[in-house]
Amino acid sequence: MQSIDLFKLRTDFARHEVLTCFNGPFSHGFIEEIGVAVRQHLEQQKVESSAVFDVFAVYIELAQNVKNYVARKGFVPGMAENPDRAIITILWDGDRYAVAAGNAVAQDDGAALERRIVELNGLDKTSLRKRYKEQLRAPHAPENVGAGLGLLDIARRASGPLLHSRSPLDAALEFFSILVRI
Amino acid sequence: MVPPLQPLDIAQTRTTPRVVFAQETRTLIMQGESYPENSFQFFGRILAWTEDYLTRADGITLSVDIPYMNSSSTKCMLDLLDRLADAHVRGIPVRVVWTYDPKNPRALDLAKDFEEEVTLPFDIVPSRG
Repeated sequence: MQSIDLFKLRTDFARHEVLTCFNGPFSHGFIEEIGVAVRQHLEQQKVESSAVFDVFAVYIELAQNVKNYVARKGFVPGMAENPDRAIITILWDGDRYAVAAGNAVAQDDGAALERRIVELNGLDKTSLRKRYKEQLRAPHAPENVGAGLGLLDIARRASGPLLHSRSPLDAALEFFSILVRI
Repeated sequence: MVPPLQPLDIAQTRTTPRVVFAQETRTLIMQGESYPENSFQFFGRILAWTEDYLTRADGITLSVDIPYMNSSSTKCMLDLLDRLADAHVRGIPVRVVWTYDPKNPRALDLAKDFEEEVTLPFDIVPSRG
């Protein structure tokens, strides 16, 4: 009988020092619950207050970005490759905390997101702040739930470049993952 | 006749701040974290109330103590501050009192980001304890 090997999954989690990992459809309630639990855990570990907020903030921005994207694309349960499901994880990445998220995206969207990440990675903190403030002043399209600020906010809180990877899923979709070291 | 001012009192939730207007001190108080599912929807009601209030040309203090806000909330907060800055230009006495946690350097950065964006009396004060 071939079935899920939780021990193998656990071993992988242990190797990457995963604090928490969720795979499934995101809801606002879930995002909230996990976020609060993680923050309490970090506070108990006596993690510096600004780092706790950065981990929490990056987690919230990534999770809300994914959730808004899935809603905007009309991804629903039962579609091929399950694009309504996403993964989000918080881990200890060698010498610092990291937050990573992955979900299925249309290939064009994956390419556009990659260009955006590469561009943001080329900016220093001062330029990122300037860009953030420009976007803060940019007109907001009423149909958008987001403000186009999430990735900029994430880049400002990251300790280095945003890492990403793209894996093909089918003719239309790919799996896009992003890892942010705090 | 100007219709009477609607009371504003929104209870705090885990992802939205308490928002209340204290008539005696003419202070709009916002207290608690802000990362709602839809920030534009949440802030829409506060913006509408503020616009209505400002048509009466009464003074107002905005007192903010929001330890964390997500990026779409910052956009909405700027909208709110812009309304107050417009009122300031029209000669209505407005001011902002922004409370931040001194233990969190990001909190002060955020306050300064906002202070730079608008022209009106803007006090940045550390929280106690």
